[in-house]
Amino acid sequence: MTSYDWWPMRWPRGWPPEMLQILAGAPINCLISSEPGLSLANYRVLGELPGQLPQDVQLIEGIWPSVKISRTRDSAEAGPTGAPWIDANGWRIQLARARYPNQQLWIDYQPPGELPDLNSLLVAIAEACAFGARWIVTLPEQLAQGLLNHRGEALTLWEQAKKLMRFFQEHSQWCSWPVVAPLGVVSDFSGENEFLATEFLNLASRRNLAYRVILREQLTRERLAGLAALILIDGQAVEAKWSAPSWEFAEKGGLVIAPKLPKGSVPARTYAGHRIARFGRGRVAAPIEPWSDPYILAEQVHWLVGRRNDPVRLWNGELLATHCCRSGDGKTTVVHLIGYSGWRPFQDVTVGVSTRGVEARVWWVDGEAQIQGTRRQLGTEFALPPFRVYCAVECGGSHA
Amino acid sequence: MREHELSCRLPTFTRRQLFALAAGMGVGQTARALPTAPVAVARCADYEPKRLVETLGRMFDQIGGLERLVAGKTVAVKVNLTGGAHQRLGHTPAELAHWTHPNVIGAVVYWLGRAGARRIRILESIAYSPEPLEEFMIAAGWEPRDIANAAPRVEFENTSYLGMGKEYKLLRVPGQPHIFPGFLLNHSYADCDVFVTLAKLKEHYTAGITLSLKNSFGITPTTIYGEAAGIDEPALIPRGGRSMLHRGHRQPAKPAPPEIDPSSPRDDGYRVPRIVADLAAARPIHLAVIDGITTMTAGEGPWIRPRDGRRTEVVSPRVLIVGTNPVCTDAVGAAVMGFDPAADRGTPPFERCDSTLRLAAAHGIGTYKLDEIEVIGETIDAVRFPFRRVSS
Repeated sequence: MTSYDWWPMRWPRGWPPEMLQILAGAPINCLISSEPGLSLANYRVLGELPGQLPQDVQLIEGIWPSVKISRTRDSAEAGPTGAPWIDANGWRIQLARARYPNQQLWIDYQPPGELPDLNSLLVAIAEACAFGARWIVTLPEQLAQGLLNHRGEALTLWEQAKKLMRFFQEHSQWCSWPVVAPLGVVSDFSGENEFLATEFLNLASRRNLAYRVILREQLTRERLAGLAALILIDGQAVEAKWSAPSWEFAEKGGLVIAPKLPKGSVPARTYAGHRIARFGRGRVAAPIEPWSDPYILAEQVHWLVGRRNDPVRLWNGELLATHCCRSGDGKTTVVHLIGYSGWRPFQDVTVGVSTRGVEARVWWVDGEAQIQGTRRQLGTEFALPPFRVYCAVECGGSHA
Repeated sequence: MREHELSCRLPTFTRRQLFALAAGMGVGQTARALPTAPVAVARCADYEPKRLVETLGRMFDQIGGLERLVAGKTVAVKVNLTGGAHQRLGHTPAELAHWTHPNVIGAVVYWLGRAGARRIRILESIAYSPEPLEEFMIAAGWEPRDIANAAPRVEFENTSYLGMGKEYKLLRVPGQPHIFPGFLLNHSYADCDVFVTLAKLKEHYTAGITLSLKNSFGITPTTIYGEAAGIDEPALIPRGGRSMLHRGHRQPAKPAPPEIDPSSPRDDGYRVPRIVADLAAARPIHLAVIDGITTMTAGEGPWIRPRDGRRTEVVSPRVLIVGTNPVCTDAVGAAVMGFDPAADRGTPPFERCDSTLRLAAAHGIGTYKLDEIEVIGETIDAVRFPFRRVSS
């Protein structure tokens, strides 16, 4: 269980202690400042990081979450899908959660020099919280100055930021709920495996292919419970002793996707760029051509696992990422929707959740509502109200 | 010409039409009569599966039954799943706006199976991805097993690339092509005895209307005709739409035949209808089913920003249209939508484009003249649903 006692903020350079009042109503309780002698009552003050981190905190590096924008503000740079390219941190946080399961995670990155849209501050807060971390709130220079000078626009945005932080503080139990995912991604995520493994996580997230990160030294039968499939990314996985629980997983009916087929397995068919062989009650799949492009790998693995197993489906949510968690008792599911386009409201978004319940509570930055979903064959669909930056959908009911 | 193509092109006249032709044709007159075939029109209130099966079964009987067409044959069924699986018009599921409804597909598959089809292959070209078609359907919220279980031996294929084939197949345009002398296509469009198109009753931003003929635009693989197509050979993976066909800024990947006249207009209102007509000639359609139960106005998909202050909206004409001649079927479809199927460029719905119906007729595929088409079941007047009046 991770504790979320700390909520860090980097104290803007040149802010006098009187600016402390601006934090009233925010759950921020830890300030990071390189200015000597800054003493702020009721706040723990840390010097520059990573030197003085609290004991139960792990610091990870991130990047400013954003849509890659082309010169004309209304359009975005396309990735290989034709879909816009998004810089996101969800996968980094999920990987860090696997590496440091008992630590509170702080993700740190500074705003870029010139921020075209200050609303992306809200995206940074929401993204980290939704995935179970805290972003070290670091105000863009324009916003810090605006607050210092009591400018209306800056104050409005800051109030929204505080409201968002309070929301996550009130729902901090969500952070410890296990992710709902059909796929386990197994690697040591380092050395020669790092590029393919981490880019796979990044690009799988972009396709809303939900996964559970499993460090290979932690690969045990217990960690595979509830999964439909497993990918062993590392080159020598098939021969390695650590992969033994995977084969048991396949024997019992799971799908194991590996760099090559285990000895003795005979491929019965090809699908999504892989040869597939029966293995006990399950299947094993290996690539026809060695894996090299993580984008194609994420795509093919999604098809091998099957979209039928997706816990969340999304419509009209091109610039959204999703993260789905379920309470330990399995009675409540929450879907976080993180919008990477801070400046543009999300209209007409529908989210499909693989649960039977048709009622949901929806929160967004400006409001909340109880909504009624529509039962469909693959789960329940909820038509969401227009929102900016972030929306949470909490619904009950068992897995569909 | 293959046997099935031949049988498709033979004009089938009702006795009434034969009399009309005989009366109207003087001695020595050499006017070529275009093929015609009956078109069945039926009201259908919704997509309730039982109702759909009953209605379509009756309609297939009205046009002469499916057995003669499909018994013992491999049947390719092109559906209309244009755009992405994650796009919706507002919150409306794609099948209630711009996609052929899965229950219509399932009902047609059921009747094809009942009529003795040896193999039924559901086809669509997903422009941006080699994604298996079933996965694409699931992404849209569909359950493809319902379609697969509607008849024995049902398969799916994404035809935007080589897919399960070993090579692309060249299908030539017989006679004088408008733009392309032939098309290099996924094997599925050649390895079939019967070609069925399951279209949606919609307007189209570029082509005015999109019914059964225009549905064939989507049989082109984007590895050859798409934005990321290869130059000297097809790309391995489809990534991108068909702007090449719209704008003509480049030629398709080799060895696909290039345009016959690269100096022809690059206007998409000129090109798209002609390419559609060429495709319908190269890959003849044997059975056209138009889903007009629930659809959208003012364009072919939710990405359309209509001209002239109109807006896209979901509407329910509650009609199904079925025929064996795609030009005749589309002519009736256009009339049901409140348009004159004989309209030429400059007249709704072809204000900014040429008429696909006329261009397909020029290929000798069929007639678009309503007085030459036998309409069975409901009359056009009884089911007319004027699209322009709804969303203007």
